[in-house]
Parts: sequence; C-alpha cells; structure tokens
Amino acid sequence: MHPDHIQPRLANFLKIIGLVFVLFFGLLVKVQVIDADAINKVSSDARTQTDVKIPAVRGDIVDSAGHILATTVTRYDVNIDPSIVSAVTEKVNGQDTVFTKEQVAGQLAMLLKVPQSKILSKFLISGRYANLAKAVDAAVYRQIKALGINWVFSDPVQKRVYPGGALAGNLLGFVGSDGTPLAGIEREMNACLAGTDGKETYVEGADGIIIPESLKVTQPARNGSTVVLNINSDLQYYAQQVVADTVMNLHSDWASGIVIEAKTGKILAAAEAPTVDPNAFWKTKSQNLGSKIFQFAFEPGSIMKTVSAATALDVGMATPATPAIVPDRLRTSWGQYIYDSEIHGFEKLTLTGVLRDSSNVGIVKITSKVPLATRFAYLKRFGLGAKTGVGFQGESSGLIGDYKNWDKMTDLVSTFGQGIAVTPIQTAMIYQTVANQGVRLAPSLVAGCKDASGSIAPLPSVAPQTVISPATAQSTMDMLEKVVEFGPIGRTAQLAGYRIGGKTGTAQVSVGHGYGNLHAISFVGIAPAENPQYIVAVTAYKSRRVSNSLGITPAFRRIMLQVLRTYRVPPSSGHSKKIPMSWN
Amino acid sequence: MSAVRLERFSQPQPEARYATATRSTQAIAVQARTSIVKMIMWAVLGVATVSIANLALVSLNAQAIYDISNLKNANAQATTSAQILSEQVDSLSSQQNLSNTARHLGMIINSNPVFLRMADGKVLGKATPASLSATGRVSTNLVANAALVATTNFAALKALPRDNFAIPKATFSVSGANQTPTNTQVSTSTQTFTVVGPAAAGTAKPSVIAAHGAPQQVVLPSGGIPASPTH
Repeated sequence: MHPDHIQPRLANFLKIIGLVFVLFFGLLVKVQVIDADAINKVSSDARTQTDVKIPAVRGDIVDSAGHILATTVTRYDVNIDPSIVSAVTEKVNGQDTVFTKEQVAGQLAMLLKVPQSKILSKFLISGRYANLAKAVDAAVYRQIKALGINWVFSDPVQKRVYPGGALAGNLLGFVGSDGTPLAGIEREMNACLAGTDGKETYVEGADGIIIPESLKVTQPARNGSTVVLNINSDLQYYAQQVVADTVMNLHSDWASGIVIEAKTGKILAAAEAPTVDPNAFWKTKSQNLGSKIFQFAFEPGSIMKTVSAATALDVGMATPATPAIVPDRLRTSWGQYIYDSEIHGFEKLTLTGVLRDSSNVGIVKITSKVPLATRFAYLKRFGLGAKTGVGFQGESSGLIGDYKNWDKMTDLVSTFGQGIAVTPIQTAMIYQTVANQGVRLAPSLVAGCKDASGSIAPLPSVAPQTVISPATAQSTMDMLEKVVEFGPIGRTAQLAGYRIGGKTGTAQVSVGHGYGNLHAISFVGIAPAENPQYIVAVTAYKSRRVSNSLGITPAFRRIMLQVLRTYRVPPSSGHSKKIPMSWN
Repeated sequence: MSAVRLERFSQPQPEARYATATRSTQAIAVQARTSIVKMIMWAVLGVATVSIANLALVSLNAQAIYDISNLKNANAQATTSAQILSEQVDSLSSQQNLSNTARHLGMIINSNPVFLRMADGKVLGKATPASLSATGRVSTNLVANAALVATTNFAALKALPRDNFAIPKATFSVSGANQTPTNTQVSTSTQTFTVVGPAAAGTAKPSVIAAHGAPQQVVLPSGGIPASPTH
C-alpha cells in the first residue's frame, strides 16, 4: 500500500487511539483521584469486613499412659431466623412434598430431644435470631444440616468433654459453659491448658465468599498444652468402683482410696465416692464437687499411733519391745479418762503389741513420755498442719494448731489422733515417709505440662525431707507388719502371698463440742513389706453399718491386690522380723 | 566515492531540488508512521494479550477460590465424621463400657496373681482357679459417665455365633487364602460395625485358622478399622 493512501486513515486511527487514551486517562484520574473516596465508600459498604477471633483450643488432660481424661471437641449451637420461618419443600420419592412448620418443628424436636411446643414457641419470636439448642453433638448437627432448611443455621462452639465421665472427676475439676475453669486440675493448671486466641480479618463478598487476598491472620492462635497426670486411669477406675461399693455397703457419707508410689510420691489413684461427673457437674451436690482427699480434714484416730510410735523410736525413748502394763482405761491426774475400744484386763504389751491391738491407753503410756514440744515438732515434720505441696486447688492444711495452746487432754489424745485434723492425703504421706526410709516426699499428682513438641516441663519440685532415720523407719515398718500379721482387725487386711504392713484407724466424728456415734474408719497399708513400693490409704466417713476398721479393710485388700497385679509385683519372700508383742 | 563527490558538486534545479526534498520528507514520514503504527499495534496486541491473560488468571483464581471453599467444606465434613467416630470409639473403649461388657460376658478377676520368674523358671504365687468371690466378680459400673454416646449392644453380641468368641491361637505363616469370611453385623446404639468372622463351615480346604478360630477384626462400614486405646 502506498504511503499516500494510508496517511488519512492512519491519521484518523491515531486520533481515535489518542482520544481513547485521553478518555481512559481522564476516567482514570476521575476514578482514582476525583471520585476515589466516594467509590471506596460504595465498595466498602457493599462488602463485609469481618474481624474474627481464632479461638485457641484448650489442651487435653491425660493420664500417665496418655489416655485422654479431658479434651475439647466441637459442638454446635442450633439457631433459626424466625423472620423467615416457613414451610419446607423437599423431594420425597422424586416428588416435591411440602412439610408444614409444625411438621418441621416435630422433626427438629425429635433430633434435638426437646418438646415440639418449645420449638414452635421459638418460631414466634420477633427478630432474626432464636436458639433452639446449645452444644449439640456432631451427629445431631449433621442430621440437622441434612434437612437443608434455609432458616436453620448452626454455630460451632468448643465444648469440654471428659470421656471417662466421673473417672477422676474429683481431680480433673470442670469448666463452666463459657470455658472458664472452675475447679480441680482444670483451674490449677489453667496456665498450661489455656492457649492464646488469635485474630484474623477478611472481606466477604455478597455471595459469602471471602475476597481473595483479603484474608489476613493478624495474630495466630496458640493452642493450649497438655497436662500429664501421674494417675493410672485403669487403677483409678478400679479404686472408684471399690470406694463407691464401700459407700453403698457401709451407708457412709463418703469414702476415699489413695494409691501412692513409695519412692516417688506419685499419686497413682485418688478415688472418691460420691464424686462429680464433670460432663454434668451441675447435677452433683455441692459438697461432692471438690476433692475431700485434699480438701477435707478430720480427726484421723489410731492411724496417728504410727507417728507417735515412730517419734518415740526416733528420739530414743522407746523400742519396738518397750514394755507397758496396759489397762483398758487410764485415769488422768485431773480426773478424766482415756479408754480403749474394748474392755480388757491389765495386759503386758510391748510397743509393737500396743500397735497390734491399737490400744489408746498403751500408746499414751509409752509415747507421752516424749516431751510435747518434740512430739509436736515431729507432727510438723511428718507434714501435718501444712499443705503437702501437691498443688491442688483449695488444699487444706489440716489443723494441729499450736501445742502451747493445747489443753492437757489434747496433749494425751493427740498421740492416738484426736484433737488434731488431717486430710486423707496427709495420712497417706505419713506412711509414704515410713515406706521410703524416713524421707517424706511431696505427693505428685501432675507429671508436667507437655507442649506441642512433646517435651514435658515438670512442675517445680518440693525438696524431700528426712523425718525419721532409716533405722526408725525400718523398725516402724516391722511393727506395722505385725499389725497385719496378728492384729485382730489388721489381719483382715492380709493378702495371700504378700507381706503387708499397715494400721487401722477408727475415729469418732466430732459433733459440736463432743463426739457423736458415727466414725471415720480407715486403713493404711504398705506392700510388699520387705521392699515397700506402694501405699494404699482408704477411708469411709461416718460409716453407719460398721463402726471400726473391719468395714474398710475389704476395700483396702481389693485396691492393694489390684495395685500389685497392675504393677506386676511378685509375691513376697521371707518372713516378718521377730518382735515381742507382750512380756511377762 | 565518486558518486558522492558528484552529488556534492553538482547543482540541481530548484524545482527538482524541492521535489526531491518533498519525496525524501514524505518517505521519512511514511517510515516514521509505519514504525509508530507497528509500535501501536504491538502495544495494542500486548495490552490485549495481557488483558486476556489477566482475565484468564482472574477466572482461574475465582474458580480456585470456589474449589478451596468446597474443599474446606469437605474437610469440615471429614472432621465431623472423624469426631463422631472418635467419640463412639472413646465410649466403647471407656472403662465403664468395658466393665459392663466384661460383666455381661461373665468375666472374673483372678484374685491370685501368679508370676513366672524368667531367670530361673520359678513360679511365684499359688495358682488357683478364679472364683466368684466378692473380690473376683466384676462389679456393675458405679462410675457415672454422661459422655457415653455408644455402648456395647449385648443383644447383638449374644446373637453372634459362639465360634466368634474363640480365643485366637498363635498362628504362623497362615495365609487364609482358602477362607470365605462370614461377616456379621454388630450394632451399637448409634453405629453398625461388621465383624469379619472365621471361615464358614464347609469350606473346601480347612485351614489352621478355620480349625482354631481367627482373630476378630471390627471393620467400620466405610472400611476403616477404629483405633482403640488399650486399657
């Protein structure tokens, strides 16, 4: 084509192109500069800017083997928009079928397990929101969703679930409906369990789809860590079964069973009945929501004779063979009496014999010779009157007061566990001290806090304390073995093939300024006696059928046998040490 | 070189000079316009290509967003399924359910543990048969659990053939290729499982498994095997 021919066309084309560019440029300036604010406003009004919290998932609580005791799952709140509630059309056998609102309400009521009338009443609420059910499980949520009703919608919520129910419920505690930890490990270890919520921002189009590139995590969520307990959940379950059985048999207010590993202080089981199912804690009576093992102190009775005897041995004022003439009652210089539980004549017993028969008179006659200040110091060294260091929410220190304020009777009766109050865990740790060559450890319920990498950060440890010498501990152990071997009640705690040391405890429960007719009955045993490994402490409070430790030794036997079976402890070898229990 | 010199020293006529100059100018202008046209055409082509590519990318991006949304929904569905099944497994393997099942099956705790010491082969403890004593009997569950969503269906268990409860023997190098599995439906309150049983009676070539009973395997309808914590 000759240039002369294309010149006009080219000129025109260039002009058009130029005009288009100018027009576009002008529009660009208008859009980007002149109208920018207005357009941005229209745009942002049309879109939905959403700031969303990314909820951190609360950490699990697991037992020593990693079995989950508490976890967090997703549940769904089922809601409706009452303003658009209408009949629902669904295909049934290929044909459109209309279901009335009443029929739909019936279907929802059946799935949500609420009365149909309640659903229908929600339909009448003015506004655009009404809740039909809170925290329904995933199976129900899926069935609701499958109905395909456009005015029913669901919001996911986190819910704390305890797969074992009341298993270790007294230890785990529970959280409120808003996730606030209210009791137990849940509260005590909240710093480990609770994560940190994150934040994200995104822009949503009219179709509900997130605008690309608009989703920004401004702060990532950090999930909670896992609390690892020293509890063996199978053993815990077995112990709970036994103590629940005990409560039914004895008609007692409650019963507890504790299993301690002697050389580590680990709490392998801490069972109570009645106790709380954290999944439905509001159904439990308030007095059973906590843990009496750590929080309830009472006069322990003859269980404390072990402390009195060990004290006398350790200060060199008695031996297992120290003799005493023991009547069945003792008149004090101020005219009050101390009685044994049974009527008997004058008996010539050694300290071992006194423990075997659990004689109040005998223990007073032998151990009250130890100065009161010394005896009180030993009570404190055994950990009484102070928290154990287990770190349980609301733990009681027990009550021993100050010996300078004790009256003359408390001076004497404290040797057999009256006038002072201790918790079941304090009692168990007295025997842990004896079983561990005189070294008291802090009971350990929580092994540590395990993070996402799997490393476990242990809790701050409490320094072991030497309470009595190893020789005293061994002598005490020898005497306790005689209690189970020959004691009238103690022998009911025997297990075939195993050497066991232990002590009974029958304490009148104080009522006002005196004592009532009901008793707290206990037994604490150590096995195997030749190489102490485990302590089992059982208590039934206010037993109404059996008023002495005969009622509680069956529970001890069942739990201790299960402990020995669980940890594969072979039957004992050898025999107990020969110690005179009486004299002529 | 001589031509150049000729041009330089020859003096053309003014009209001819004008005409020559005009033609030269026109030629240059045409060349310039042609270049501009080409440039503009390339530019337009480039813009068009970029626009089309951008359009394609935007479309693909939009499609990807919907795909991601669908996948997220599928993931949520799968997570929901996993949670439902996990809670059922937790319930079925809970101490409460196991205890009740053991009791229904007549299981007894042996209250006389006996140990074999590997070092010298000595038997420690006195072996006696388990008895229905108070300590041996498995208690009815007394530990409440509001989280139980599934429990063993004893009626379904009872309906199973006795052979299904045979204690599996240790077997080595058994292929089981000649077996015809007999499947049995086991229903819990919310879930149906299939128990893959041992070979049916009358199998042409009885195998070791058929003679001694095969280990049970619980298979979910979807084909998976539920993981069960050991208790």
